[in-house]
Amino acid sequence: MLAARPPAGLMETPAPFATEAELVAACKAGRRDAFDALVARFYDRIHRLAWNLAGPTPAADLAQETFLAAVKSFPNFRGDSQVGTWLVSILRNQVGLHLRGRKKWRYASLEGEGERLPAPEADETGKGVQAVLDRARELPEDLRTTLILFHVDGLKYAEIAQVLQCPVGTVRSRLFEARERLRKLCEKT
Amino acid sequence: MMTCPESRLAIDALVDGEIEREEEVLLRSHLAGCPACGRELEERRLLSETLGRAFERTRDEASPLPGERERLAERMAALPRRRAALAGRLAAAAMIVVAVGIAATAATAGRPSSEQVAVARKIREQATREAQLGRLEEEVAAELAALRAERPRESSAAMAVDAAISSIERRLAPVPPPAPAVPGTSVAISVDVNGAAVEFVQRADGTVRLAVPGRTVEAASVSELTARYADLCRRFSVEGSEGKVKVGDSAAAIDLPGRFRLHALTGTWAEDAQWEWCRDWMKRRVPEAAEMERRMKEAQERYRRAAADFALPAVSVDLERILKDVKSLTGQELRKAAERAEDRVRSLEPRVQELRDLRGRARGVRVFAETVRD
Repeated sequence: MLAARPPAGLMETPAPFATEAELVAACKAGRRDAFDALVARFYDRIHRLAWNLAGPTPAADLAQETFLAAVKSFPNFRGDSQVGTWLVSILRNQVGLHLRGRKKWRYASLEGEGERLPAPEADETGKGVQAVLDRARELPEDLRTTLILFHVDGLKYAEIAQVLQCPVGTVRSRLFEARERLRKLCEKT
Repeated sequence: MMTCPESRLAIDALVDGEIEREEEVLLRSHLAGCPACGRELEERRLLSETLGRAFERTRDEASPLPGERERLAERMAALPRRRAALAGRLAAAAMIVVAVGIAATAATAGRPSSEQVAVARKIREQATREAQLGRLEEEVAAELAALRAERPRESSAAMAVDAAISSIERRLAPVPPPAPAVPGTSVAISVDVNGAAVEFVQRADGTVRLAVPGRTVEAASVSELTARYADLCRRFSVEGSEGKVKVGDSAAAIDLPGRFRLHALTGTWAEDAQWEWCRDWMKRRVPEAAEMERRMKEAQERYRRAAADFALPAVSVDLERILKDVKSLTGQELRKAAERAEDRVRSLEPRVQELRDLRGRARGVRVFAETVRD
């Protein structure tokens, strides 16, 4: 990842691992700086996905559990996929456990955490967008997950297939079905 | 042959940039004869764009709050000791230093207010956009440098690539230089469209004039005309690209070198001119029609894939650092900082989009240059 130059007086985040292979090797060796780099590189992405897959309340816990599980599982990471895709797979498992109620979440407030601003009042476009997102939440879990992995995370069909452990053709038909149902749901409202 | 239900599935793959070459050939052949599926393609494209935009708008809301990473760092540090042992003594020592640093920071840092967090986020967005803009400029310049180095030697191929380079350079300049004055007319059409007299002229310098009953409009190029006056052009059936225009039932075009010259002058690019030229070029080298078509499709697919990479450069700006500075601002300064950041992001957005397009185009033209190199 390239480090941007922040506005005057603001420092940039260091990126000590030039390649993903270096990062993976250091994580496998259990190096703390590697785990910090892993978090710096992927935390926002995993949090956003968690937020979209499971909703705002459990998003932070799900993202954190994903990284903790990753640290524990790194010795088993074979490098068949990119680290980001592997983390998404772990998140997907965590979300599955959460949705099936097999894991208790703390939803603890964070020490020193900033508060989230109330959502601004939506304009007409905003309302339209909100309607689409609301309808997306009504989709069955497998369709919604596929849709979110494609549109939020920008994964390719093959990567989604890896995450969901299904054939690429299934990803394709789920995306088609998700959009088709969304279109119908939006037409009804 | 592809059926309509099969085409519906394939349309999504096409819109998502995931279609296989053979399937695309079948789909396009089906679309050519099926207006209903053609409409479906447009609808699915629109739906996909709407979904992309909808999820994009949640981006800020779905981002983590400050403090989450620190909590994760503490939890990672608290993992069973045997895992830390893997790192050896040095790493363990580093962990202690980091953990102490985090604890010290947590102890001294006050809890930021929601307004401070919101302003810091806006400043981070501004810094991110500025960094992305700089990176995009560097990436486009690098693509152009590579394109020049790979420029075909054969003169007509070099002409096509030079025209593409000039058109990109023209738009790359923050303020494009004024087009040189070239006297004369390139394309002129006078025709009756549904009972209305329509006159279209593209001058040799690329500028255009469209006159319809009660209204005359001017634009810097055909591309600008059809984008800025889309409704008018639709109403009077005006379409085409630089040097090749159709109005109602009348069409007019100049030769390909002339069209390339117009593209270079106006900073525009049309794939149809590029592929028309490529087809002529290939016909002279690949006599067997089916083989030529195969190579054309292959080149077009590679071009499309290269040009369709719209990913923004990945940059990282540390929100915590920004928050530290933001915490020292007064209420009024906070509001001003937020406004400045918002204005700056808004003003940068069109240029970011333009550079992203130019980078895609430069990458595509490199594939094209590679295809027509002897």
